[in-house]
Amino acid sequence: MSAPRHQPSDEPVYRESAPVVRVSALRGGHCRLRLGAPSIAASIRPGQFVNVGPPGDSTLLRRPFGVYQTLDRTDIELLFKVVGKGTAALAEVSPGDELDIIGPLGNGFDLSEDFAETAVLVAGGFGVAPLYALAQALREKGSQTYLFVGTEEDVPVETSDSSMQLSFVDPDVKITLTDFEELGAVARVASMRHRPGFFHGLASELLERFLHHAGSGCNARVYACGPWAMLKRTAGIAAEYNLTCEVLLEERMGCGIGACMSCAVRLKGENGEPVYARACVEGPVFDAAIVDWDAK
Amino acid sequence: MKPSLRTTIAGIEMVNPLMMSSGTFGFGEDFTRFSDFDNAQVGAIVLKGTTLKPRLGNPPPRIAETPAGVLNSIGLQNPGVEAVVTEILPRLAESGLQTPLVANIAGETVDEFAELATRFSQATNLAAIEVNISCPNVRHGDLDFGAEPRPASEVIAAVRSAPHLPLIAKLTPNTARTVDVARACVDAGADALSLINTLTGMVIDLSSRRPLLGNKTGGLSGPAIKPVAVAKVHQVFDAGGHLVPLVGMGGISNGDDAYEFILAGAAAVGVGTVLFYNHRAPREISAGLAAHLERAGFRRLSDAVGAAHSKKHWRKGSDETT
Repeated sequence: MSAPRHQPSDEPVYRESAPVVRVSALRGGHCRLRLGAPSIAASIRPGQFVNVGPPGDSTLLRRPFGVYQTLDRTDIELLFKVVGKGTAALAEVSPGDELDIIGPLGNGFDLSEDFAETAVLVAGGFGVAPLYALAQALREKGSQTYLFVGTEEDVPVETSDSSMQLSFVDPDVKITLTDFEELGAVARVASMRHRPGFFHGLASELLERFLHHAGSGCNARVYACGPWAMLKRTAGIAAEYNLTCEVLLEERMGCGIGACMSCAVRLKGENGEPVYARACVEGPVFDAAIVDWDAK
Repeated sequence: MKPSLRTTIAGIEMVNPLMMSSGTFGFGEDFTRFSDFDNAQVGAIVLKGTTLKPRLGNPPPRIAETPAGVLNSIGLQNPGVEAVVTEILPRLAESGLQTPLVANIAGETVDEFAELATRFSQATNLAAIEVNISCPNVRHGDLDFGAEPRPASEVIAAVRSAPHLPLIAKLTPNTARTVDVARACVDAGADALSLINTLTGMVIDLSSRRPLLGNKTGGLSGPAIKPVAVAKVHQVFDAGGHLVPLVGMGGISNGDDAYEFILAGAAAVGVGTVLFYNHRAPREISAGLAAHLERAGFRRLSDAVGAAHSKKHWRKGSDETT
């Protein structure tokens, strides 16, 4: 909790009855959900999240979601995978239904500095969801963005074959995420299975190859979201190359606004003692250098 | 005439009987980020359970949703009494907050409880102290203060010997001896009783085949526990709990629930888990409760306290003599 950006925000939180504008089922149980939420859409920043109330009485607690993108400054779009009761109910909503949502919540990615000419995004599976809004913001800042996604399942969003040749992977590694490619980002997908067009290995290995190839003068910033083991490897590689790395951590959450202390993330305290920070207000984005990676 | 919700228990003067439950409301500084939430809407704020030393809390995961309930094992993560008394309470005073504040203290020994009470009595903006002899997520060796009358009584007596603030003993449902513990607390000097704290529970993760929570067990709250809580309030009121005011809590989500607790014998009610998913609950509960009182012809809240009991009992809950 040393860096100022890990202080809870005092920005207002809005509660909106958000009409479902569009819901689309995607491959592999993924779902894209567009909601009308003008107050949240106008103020949310990349890495912040919303807490979505259950459709009907399907669950008690709200469920936290990163925002894939904001549209027309009035709508937000969520991208998620059906993993339990809450997400299953959410995938069943229809246009015109209303969802009770609160946001923006938490601290987003640190976009206050404009030095990062290169940004490398690393995602595991649907961990890619909160990174698209980040990629949009990075483009506005003029950063060249790379995205490496690791998945053993279906890629959560639309893919296509990139025509761009990359120096750090074989030319047949060409599957890209269409949304990101259209932003001018370079994206590739990794899998531990042999799959045509995929990089055979881990997403973090793509990061390592990229950094190795770019050499020691590379002024890159690393951003990651996904499973703990992937984040831990990514944080380790960034540290080896002396690069700032921000990770978006997903934890089981209660209230979402800092009152209940449920979503604890173990950090390395200033005196070496561990401290628990709340993912919902001090996070969900943390400087990877202060996360206690041995906690899980 | 609209019935008044103004409530005074153990000297705590409240605009309504809704006390934000300890552990669900932080130190009163979180929910105010909602533009339509104002601490002035609530009767009192019971602060996060505080220990003598700063406390790290339990390893995550700390929360799991269960049918109509929430299982938590926070483990009393808090900054310690020093920070609460010298930083947080002064900050709340400076903010101009008028809502009564109740400290919630959790000691590991009888002496620690006494010291916590002494430290908190130095604060100028506390209305009362709630004595947490019932946290299910923190063990004191083999000792569970709230499960048996004698240790409960020792804690209350020790805290009583510290200065002046009204004391509320918070009781656990995780004992067959709730009534005996309640009596012991009153005899030892408790000015009010709050009940119930959470019920001990467990969730096992089917894929890892291990308990889901980092602490293995947790405390169950939310609508799932409401009938248990109503029964405990009714039981304690019936057994003499009407001699001191009861703060009833456990799954209160709307005006119906609050009214039910009042009828069972609660003079005030705790509002907790519902805040996690509906920050407008305090306003909605107040409105719902007032509507019930009006419909039933009660002129004030205290007239309805314990109305579910036979007359000889419930009249004692009211200050009316006729």
